[in-house]
Amino acid sequence: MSRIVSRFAYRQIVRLHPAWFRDRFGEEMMWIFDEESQRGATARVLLDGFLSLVRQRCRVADESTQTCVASGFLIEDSGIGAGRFVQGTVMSSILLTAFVLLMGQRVPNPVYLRMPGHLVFYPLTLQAPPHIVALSKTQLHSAEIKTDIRKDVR
Amino acid sequence: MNRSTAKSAPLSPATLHILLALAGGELHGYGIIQEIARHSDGHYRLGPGTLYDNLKKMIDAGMVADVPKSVPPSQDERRFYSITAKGRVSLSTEIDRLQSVVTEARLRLQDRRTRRV
Repeated sequence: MSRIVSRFAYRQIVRLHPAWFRDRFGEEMMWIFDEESQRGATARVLLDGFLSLVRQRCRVADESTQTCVASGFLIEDSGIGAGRFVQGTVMSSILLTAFVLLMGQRVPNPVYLRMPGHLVFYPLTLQAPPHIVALSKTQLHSAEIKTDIRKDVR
Repeated sequence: MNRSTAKSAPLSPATLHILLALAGGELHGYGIIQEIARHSDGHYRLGPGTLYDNLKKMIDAGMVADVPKSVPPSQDERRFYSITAKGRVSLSTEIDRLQSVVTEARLRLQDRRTRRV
């Protein structure tokens, strides 16, 4: 499962590369990703893809004498346009964050739990006691479920 | 230090390793990564993004060339790369530079040992 997710994330990273780079090296990058994943080096290749995305998005050949300050970096005469730098940084940050959230699932996913006489905000990642039944927020607000809760309380 | 060494800027580690890998013969992308890992005893392993970014720069600089495909594209889509004459000159210049650094370092270490004795 995690391999499918990481492959999907890497494909998205490759797709976000500039068209000329993607068309020329995209398929080979995917092939190398598959080979390296089998060795258990998925995280390293993903990070490399992320850095490559930032590098490629920042590189603009015809803006070779610009100075740009973005995301805490000062870059002089590097051929990197400020707009491209910001665009690349934002896009790759969003992708990396999404991937980390998907892979780690360490951020608690809050659900409302039904307990006798109480409404508790309980993280999904924790093991709830067996007498507690998980309900989604929408289920909780429906009149039918509320009736059930009252019955249970009685 | 000779004149050519003084003129050219030192190569980046990635460029040096790619040129070293290709000095042994034509390789495709993953072959380059494996060869670099082999000759550095696994201490240096390039990612695909870094590899192709450097390959593109080296192709533009004329140090590396795409090898024309000998098989129909449907059978093998992998591109092979080879080092050019210019690439060999750059590599040997860099090796000369590193050699002089090593020689200098050895002399200094030797000098220090002699003083201690």
